[in-house]
Amino acid sequence: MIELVDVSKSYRKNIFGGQRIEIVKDVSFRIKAGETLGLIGASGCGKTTLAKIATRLIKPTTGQIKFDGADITAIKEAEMRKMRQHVQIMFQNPESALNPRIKIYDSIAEIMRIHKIHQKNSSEERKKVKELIEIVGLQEEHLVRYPGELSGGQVQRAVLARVLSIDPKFIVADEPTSMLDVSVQAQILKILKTAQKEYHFACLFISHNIGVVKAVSDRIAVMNEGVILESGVTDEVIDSPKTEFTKALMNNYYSDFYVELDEVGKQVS
Amino acid sequence: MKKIIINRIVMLIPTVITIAFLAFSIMYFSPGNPAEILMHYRNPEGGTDPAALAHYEEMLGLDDPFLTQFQNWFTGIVSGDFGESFKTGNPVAEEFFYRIGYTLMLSLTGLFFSLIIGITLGFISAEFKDSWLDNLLRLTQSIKMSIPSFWLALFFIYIFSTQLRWFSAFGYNSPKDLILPGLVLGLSNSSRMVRLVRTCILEEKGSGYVYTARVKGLSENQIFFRHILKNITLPIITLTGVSLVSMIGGSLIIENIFGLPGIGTYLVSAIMAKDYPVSMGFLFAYGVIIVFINLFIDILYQFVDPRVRDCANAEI
Repeated sequence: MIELVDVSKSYRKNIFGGQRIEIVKDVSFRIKAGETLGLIGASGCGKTTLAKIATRLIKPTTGQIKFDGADITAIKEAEMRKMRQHVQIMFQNPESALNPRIKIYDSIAEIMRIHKIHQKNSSEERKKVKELIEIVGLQEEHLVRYPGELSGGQVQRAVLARVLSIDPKFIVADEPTSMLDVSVQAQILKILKTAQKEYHFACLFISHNIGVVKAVSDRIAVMNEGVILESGVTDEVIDSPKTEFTKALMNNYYSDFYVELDEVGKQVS
Repeated sequence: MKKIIINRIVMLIPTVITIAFLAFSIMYFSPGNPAEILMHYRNPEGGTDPAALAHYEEMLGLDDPFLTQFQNWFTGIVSGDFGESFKTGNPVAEEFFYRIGYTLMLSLTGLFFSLIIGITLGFISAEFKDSWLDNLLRLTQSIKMSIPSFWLALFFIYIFSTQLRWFSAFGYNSPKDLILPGLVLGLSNSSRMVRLVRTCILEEKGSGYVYTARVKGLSENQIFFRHILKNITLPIITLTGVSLVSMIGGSLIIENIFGLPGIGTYLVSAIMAKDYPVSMGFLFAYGVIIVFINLFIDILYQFVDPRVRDCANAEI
């Protein structure tokens, strides 16, 4: 479905040229329809840059992006806009994900209007939006509100409704739940998994939280400083990590887990 | 919503009283005896007869305590009586309403230029961020910001009136005569607008919903007009209000240079001539106009931005 071949992205350090900083180095992966690849790594390791490259929001410096076998690395913006109905992304921060001045209904429906799936304000459009909000667990009253009037979890649900509205083939979820509390996080993940079974899209799920990635991914890839260190079936990578970095990441995760438990009773240093 | 507007209007009362008090105090404590000046205007050849002076002092109520004098003046204002000019004997209110039109026209012309220049240049600056064009625009804005408006006015008179003879340099004969002073006002106020528009557009461009819009497949033009523009109207309105206020203030100088018959010119000449009722009345009126513009902007917010509506509701 989606394939990245030796993708790199670098920026010049300053306007006078000089050194280039490599954010992403020679990353390759492939995700099949209906499959989720979990991408895990510490903050600042290039995950979000990779997410933007995979959706062609930014162009890679070198390498290729293939979608359904076709190379979309360098196609024109106008053609890319048509491709957009197949490739969608969810961002980390629910507060800025939707235009604060546009009501939830229009934010969800706009994408269908752009791709001429339904007429603006037609009964089909309304029916589709209602279906979608039912899937993601929002009520109709939420549709007439502005994003600022919803909680973070509700906004992420609306974002998910928008993503699903055009039946995409590939979704990038860039830390969609990291700003939400644990119970809401679980609900969103569940909706995403259920929707994937129904719509059969490929998914690149990015997170720094191993627990979350473990819950949704078929395979995972571990990223550090712009490089993918190892990848494989989820349980294998988590149970028997090959690199020191992955081991440290796992240990950190489990120690974090215990710190959280301790906080309930007494913090142990 | 109604509650907020009523609340704002009620809050006007203490503000207006304070303005009146300050306007009165400034004139009260300034050196000079109003009775002497009035006497001089009424009877230029009369000299300084102590008996006549005492008569004028009594007529103006100058023997009363400070607060009583203020009270008398203020009750007059509330009922629409601003007194009469020492110099001409005309009612102050009449003079004011005759002149305010010119000042407002000038300020609005200035605002028009400032918005056109500000939004266009700001947009260009943001669109070509960090290019030579953007750098040039930013440099000119900084220079423009530091040029005083009276200098710019004299410079423009030299170029457009004296050299090119496109516009008249002095007085008001037709609306065309507002173009040059309006342009000066607009230009000297546009720098902030350019910077604001540039910063806002760039800030919005980096926010999540713009990426979201791009992912949706909107073109850059659609993103600008449907998404970004809506979000930058609020800061633009805020600055427009502030600009209008500073333009009404700035019009004082520009009117004097271009000889426009607005309230600025009249106020300055009244202060020079120690025409007490006119000075106090016009000072007060200036203050009230500015307070009302701010009120108007506050109310306008409520309609433009749903978030402000909610914040304000929560506050009350």
